[in-house]
Amino acid sequence: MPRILVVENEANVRKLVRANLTASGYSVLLAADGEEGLKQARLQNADLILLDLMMPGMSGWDVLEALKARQDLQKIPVIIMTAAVKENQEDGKRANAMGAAGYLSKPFTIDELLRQVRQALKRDGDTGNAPQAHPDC
Amino acid sequence: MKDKRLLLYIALAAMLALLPVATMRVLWPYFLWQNEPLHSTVETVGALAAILMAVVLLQRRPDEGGGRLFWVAMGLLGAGILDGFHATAQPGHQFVLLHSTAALAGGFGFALVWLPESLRYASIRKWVPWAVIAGSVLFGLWTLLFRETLPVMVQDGRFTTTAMALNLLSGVFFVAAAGRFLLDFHHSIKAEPYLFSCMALLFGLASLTFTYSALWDDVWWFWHAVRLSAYLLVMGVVVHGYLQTASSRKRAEERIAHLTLVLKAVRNVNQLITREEDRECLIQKSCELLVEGRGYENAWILLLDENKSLVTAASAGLGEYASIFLEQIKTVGYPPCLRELLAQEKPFIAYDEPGKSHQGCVLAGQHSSQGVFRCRLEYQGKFYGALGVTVPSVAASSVIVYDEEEQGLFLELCGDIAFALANIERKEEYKQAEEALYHSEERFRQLSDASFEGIAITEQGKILDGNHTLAGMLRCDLPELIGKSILEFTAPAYHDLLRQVVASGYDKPYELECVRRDGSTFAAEICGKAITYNGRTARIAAVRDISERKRAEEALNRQEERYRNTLDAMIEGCQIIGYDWRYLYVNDAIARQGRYPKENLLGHTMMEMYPGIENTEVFARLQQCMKKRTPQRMENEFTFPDGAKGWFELCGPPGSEGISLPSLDIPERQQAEAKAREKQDLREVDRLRTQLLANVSHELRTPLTSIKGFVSTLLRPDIQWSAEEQRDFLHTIDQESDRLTRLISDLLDMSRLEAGALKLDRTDYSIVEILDSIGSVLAKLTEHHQLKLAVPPDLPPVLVDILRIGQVLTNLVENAARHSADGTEIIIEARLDGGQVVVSVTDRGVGIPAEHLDRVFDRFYQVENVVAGRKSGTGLGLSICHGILEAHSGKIWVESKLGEGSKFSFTLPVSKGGEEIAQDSGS
Repeated sequence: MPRILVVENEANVRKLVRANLTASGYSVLLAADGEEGLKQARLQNADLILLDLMMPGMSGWDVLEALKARQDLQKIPVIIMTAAVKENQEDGKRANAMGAAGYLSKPFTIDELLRQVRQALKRDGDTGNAPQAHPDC
Repeated sequence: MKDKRLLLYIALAAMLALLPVATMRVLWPYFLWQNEPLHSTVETVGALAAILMAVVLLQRRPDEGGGRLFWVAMGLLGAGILDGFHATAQPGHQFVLLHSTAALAGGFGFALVWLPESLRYASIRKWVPWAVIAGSVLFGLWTLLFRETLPVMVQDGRFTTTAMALNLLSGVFFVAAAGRFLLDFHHSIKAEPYLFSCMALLFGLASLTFTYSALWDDVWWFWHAVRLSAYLLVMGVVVHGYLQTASSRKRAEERIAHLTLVLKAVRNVNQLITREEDRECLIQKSCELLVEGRGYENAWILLLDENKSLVTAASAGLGEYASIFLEQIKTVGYPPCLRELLAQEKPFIAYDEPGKSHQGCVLAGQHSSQGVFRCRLEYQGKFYGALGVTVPSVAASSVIVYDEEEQGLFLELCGDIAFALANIERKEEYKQAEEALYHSEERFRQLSDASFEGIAITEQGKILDGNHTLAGMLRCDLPELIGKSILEFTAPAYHDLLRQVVASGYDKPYELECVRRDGSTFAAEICGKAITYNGRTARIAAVRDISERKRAEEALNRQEERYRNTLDAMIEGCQIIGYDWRYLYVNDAIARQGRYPKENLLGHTMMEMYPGIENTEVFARLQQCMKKRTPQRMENEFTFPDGAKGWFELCGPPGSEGISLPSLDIPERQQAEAKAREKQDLREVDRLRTQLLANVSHELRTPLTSIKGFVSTLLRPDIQWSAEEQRDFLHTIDQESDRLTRLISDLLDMSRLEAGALKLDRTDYSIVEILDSIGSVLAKLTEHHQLKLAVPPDLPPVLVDILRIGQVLTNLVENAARHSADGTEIIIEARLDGGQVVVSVTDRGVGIPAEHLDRVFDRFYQVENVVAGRKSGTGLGLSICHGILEAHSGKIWVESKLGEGSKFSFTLPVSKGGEEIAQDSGS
């Protein structure tokens, strides 16, 4: 059962994502801010991270940068969630450039959420077998 | 007494002479002098006496009168031998001739006392007596054996002319000798010349009387009696003289032995004083040496100071008396014998004769009956103390000690010891002076070494001496410097200057370049001066390393240039105006603005340059600044005489010499400022607009996400949600819908406020009523906090739109709850202040950083320090509060301290009806 870490400061959004992902058969971990998210990512061996961009304190960008900077965490796929203006494509491009696996624009449909999650995990399964062959890493 | 003894001697001598003759006369009456026994006896006695006396006189040493009496002895010897022959002869020619020649020989010998001393040949003394004896004996034998050849001496019982002439001559000789002896007696008043004089006179009388006598007549016997008495006198003198000579010889020997001892002691003392350098040792050893060979019985030396009080004492041979003596000085004072000595002002020698009272003086110790010498010890007028000695008993008993030799020796001794004492004193003084000199020199050296300046003493360009600082400067040892030329240590370029300076005796500081031993150089400041050094005219120079100073000066110059260039490059004018209104400094900008070249301004007063400036506002302010010497801040316009305008800004504290006055031309300044402000404003507006858009979008999308999300979740065809879950989802949708509604109403309020289109429904309310109207909302907002209300009941009512003010309070309380930890206090208080009601909301939360305080009322401005897990607001709340209060003619402000909490306060206008209450409460 893939483990998905949700990093989101809005409690209701966390609840929304958890309810749907749990119902779809994923194991869900929750973090209310960036620091907590980074800590969970290190400790819980997540398979996927859903990351909100606009958070007080450490922003989603900071978390993404920190994840990609760490050798043991950079392989975990990250899906960006943001409530930024849809017309503003810069965030999507930037997320892509920083190695994000997906980009969810709030408000998003549940189908879109599940599709992106499945896609990210599948891609990870294709390319992520190598690290699994070395459980020590 | 001496006279009696002399008579005794004479009697004794007479007996000695008469006894053998009388004895022989009794034993052999007819063997000798059968013809005239009486006459023969008398003559024999006389002859014996004369020979005896001659022998005695010859025994005498020249110093005992032997020189003068040698010829007398010769005369007596000749006379005695011839008289002996005369005693044996038959009366007749030979008889008279022998007598006459005997008298002549005697007289001649006596008369030779007239010979001057220089003619008494010492060399002929050895053989003359033998010659006289031989001559006399031969002459006697000749008269006895060859009677016939003799001249006629007697005729018919009467003496011939020849006989009378011979006797007359001898008589004259004798009388002459008597005169000489009488003269001697007159000069010396001694007994011996007197006796000899008498004797010669008697012999002379006898010889002269002979001419009136005939054989065997009365006169004949008379002059025989005279001669006999003369001979008897001779005998007495002989015996007396012999005894006298013997005792005086013994005394002299003793005395010489004594003097030798004293001399030896003096010599030892002299040797001692040449090497002894310690005063106490000297006097102690001197005393010991003086008594060592019994030169003196005892000796003591007292050293006294100028006040005659005892410094130290030494003695030898005094035994137990030494301590008694010292004790006496301490307790009673000096004994009389010493007092007498010390009372004298000049060198003084005192002598106590043996046996005389010493008036309780213990200085002679156990030898108090012996002679004591005392003397002041003085050398070249300086008094050191006293020396005393006791003369040995041997010498004291038989010698008159107080004579010149003894006294001389003692004085010499005193002088030597005094000299030695003076010498020691001088040496000590010298040593002290030397030590003092050494110390002062040492001190000077240390002083000079401690100085930061190098010091050199030079003579004609050669270094005589220096201190270690100098050596350190030149990086060599001090001895290396000595004797070197100063030119060796200066750069060649300065040699001429240096020579000139030394030659002219220039004594002001000058600078030159010094060369160290290792060739490196440094700038130095020299200050030299002519001095007398060890009696020579030298030059002392202080050398100071000024390379640091030079560097600092250069750095300063560079820095100054840098500042000057910077200041000149500025658009803004910079000037310093002295307290006498003179320009002390102006930069290029000032010159440009002031329409005068720099040189014209500097040193001139403002009034000179700009007549009429006294009447301007700028001048008045400057004057105030100068008077009070307090910093003033002002901006003022000044119009230059040609119509140009200057903008002055006076700031900063007045300096020590004047005040600095920056200025800027108005057009330049205004243009620059306006442009900058516009640019800044545009950028800020643009930024805020973008920010607003982003925020509005985000704030709208967040609740929408939840609403839409949960709706689609509920609609998921693949999942069958439980009833509980469904209810939860719907509740969330409801919540988020409320949030969305509130946000939209906030945005609407905001736009209304901005457009000034907010409609207020103002009525009189008390603060309590307002709080009551939002009571349930507040309770919900502060469910995790302690809400405290501090509202006095007597506050006047306020004229407000209760909904709007309620909205403000709700907003503030919501913010407070959002930014503070659970369980902390949130206080709402109200008070009357200056006709207004002030309401404040205080929390114990995280507080607001100082740099954000003046921006918290801006739209969408959010300080990102929300307590974890708490919803953030829209960023519009405070901005709306601000707008609502502005509409109420009130104001809102915040006080906050990071980490301690924030206090938001706002004022509300008191209603017209409540103004009286406000007045009352306020007063």
